[in-house]
Amino acid sequence: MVGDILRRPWERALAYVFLVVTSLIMVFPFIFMFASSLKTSAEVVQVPPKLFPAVLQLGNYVEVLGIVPLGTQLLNTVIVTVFVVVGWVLTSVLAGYAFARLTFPGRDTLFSIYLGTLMVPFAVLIVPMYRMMIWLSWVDTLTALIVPWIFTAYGTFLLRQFFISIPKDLEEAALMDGAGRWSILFRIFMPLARPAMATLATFGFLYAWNSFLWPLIIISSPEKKVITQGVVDLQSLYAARVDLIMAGSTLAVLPTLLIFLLAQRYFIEGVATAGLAGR
Amino acid sequence: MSKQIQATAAPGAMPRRAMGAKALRETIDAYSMLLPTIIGVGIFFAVPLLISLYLSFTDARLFGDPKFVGLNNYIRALSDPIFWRAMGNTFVFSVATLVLSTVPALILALLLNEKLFGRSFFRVLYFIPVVASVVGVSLLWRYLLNIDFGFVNYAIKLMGFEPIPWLTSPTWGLMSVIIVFSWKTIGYNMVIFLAGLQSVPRQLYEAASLDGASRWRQFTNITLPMLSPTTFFVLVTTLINCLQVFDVPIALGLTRGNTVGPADSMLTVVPLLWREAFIGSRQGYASTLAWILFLIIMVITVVQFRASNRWVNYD
Repeated sequence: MVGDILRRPWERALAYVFLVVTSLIMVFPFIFMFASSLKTSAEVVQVPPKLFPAVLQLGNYVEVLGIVPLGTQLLNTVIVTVFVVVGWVLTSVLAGYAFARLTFPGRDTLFSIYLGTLMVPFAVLIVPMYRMMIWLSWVDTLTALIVPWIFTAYGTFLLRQFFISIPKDLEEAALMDGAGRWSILFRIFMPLARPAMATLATFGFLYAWNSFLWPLIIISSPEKKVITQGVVDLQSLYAARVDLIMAGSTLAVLPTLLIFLLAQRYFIEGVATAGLAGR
Repeated sequence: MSKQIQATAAPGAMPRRAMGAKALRETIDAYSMLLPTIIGVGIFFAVPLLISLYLSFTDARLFGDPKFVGLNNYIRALSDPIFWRAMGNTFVFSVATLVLSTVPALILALLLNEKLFGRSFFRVLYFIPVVASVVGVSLLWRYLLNIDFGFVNYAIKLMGFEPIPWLTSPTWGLMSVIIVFSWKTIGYNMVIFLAGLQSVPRQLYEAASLDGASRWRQFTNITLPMLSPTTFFVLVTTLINCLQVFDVPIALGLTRGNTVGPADSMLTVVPLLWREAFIGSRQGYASTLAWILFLIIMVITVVQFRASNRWVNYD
């Protein structure tokens, strides 16, 4: 076809080989991690390394959940993630709708300022936020991991983009019938926004589940830590048990992989649209 | 009197008083919907931002009252060799990662843009490292890069070379961070490049083919220029992420003695500022480092935008 780079069959074959090799480089580490999590602590540091364990050490997972305590930390991560994602979606739908469909003084300035906040590196906020958590007595609580982070300029931007594309008549008809804007939002616009909310939810999930710097700063009690901290502690406390470290890492990584496989479309489309919008 | 009002109102418009009430209602609705965000961003962003700026001019520590010290912290940062080590590492890391995570991403995107069997499958595979937790991935690589039993050194030995002390030698430490972060970022950039490639109109290639242009010429004269806004976006966002890297150096390299990598070879700016604030308890100085980083990011981004006028074509 016109514009194709690969024309002759041998070129296509070569391209294929390259694609397969690179995708192996991307994926093989995970296969190795998962396989290693089922080895004994001796097998896992064996030289030369073996890919598969002789006997599947499923007990590693039972063991790792009990120490650190990784099981509790996994639960904490789930709780924090659920609240942050719900918070993200709710605040973004509200703000996105207001910025997209309502006219009011200060609208465009406020929106630009809000987007401008994305320019500020997170590192600038960590010291004062820490001091504020001390002042609020939120240090070492899951609240500190949730409440400040449910507001998102990115999410507001996403929902606003989506709401802008909906035809005006929908609203006008409802307004004529005397419906209030809040009920228009919840009864009409929100159900329509499911794809955008799904995309936002998947990114929010990634953000909350994988966050490390802030939990590291604010949480010090092992039973309140989240899983990213847990696996790092696993590494420093049980450095010799690489098999357990691999099991812990698998537990940290598996949920995001699963969500990704289920919601790939939303992830990949979300990233692609961000790139195109950036033009 | 009423005739004058009707003459000044636009034809078909509602009488002024009713218009005012409607607009007021809309404004109230809007601000009530925005209230959570305004309050939240006010408390948890605007206030800390200002406090941080203030703290950067003080000698604030964990306890006790901060004392104003003017520009001392800034001067101290500029004369601190550890600060410059972190700056140097961050710079080297960013440039290397920029190259390693964009060039392969572009090549892969070009290949996936062709009609090859299983391309969505490959796209998913390349994206997997992107979504996996950075910390989990870093610990995995810590294992793979282990000097004695790591798989990477095993492969290197098979090829006849000496094993490399990835995580234990100051010369190789930063390289390990570069490898892990690039590996994790390629898929993300590839998806963006792919979207950009798919938006290039086919007719351009058809016209060029009719003129007898070679594939290479088509690439340099059509693909690259049309892709330049996307390339710009990828470069800007990747660079900003590189300047703020934290999870990978810490998970790969934090030692008992609180160095980041052997002899601080993996120390970049954000880990340094974290260490100063929460291990060294020098919160004023850490705030200064944060603002220096902020300034650098702003300057670099502005420079990139200015430079983009020369090489980026928007249609």
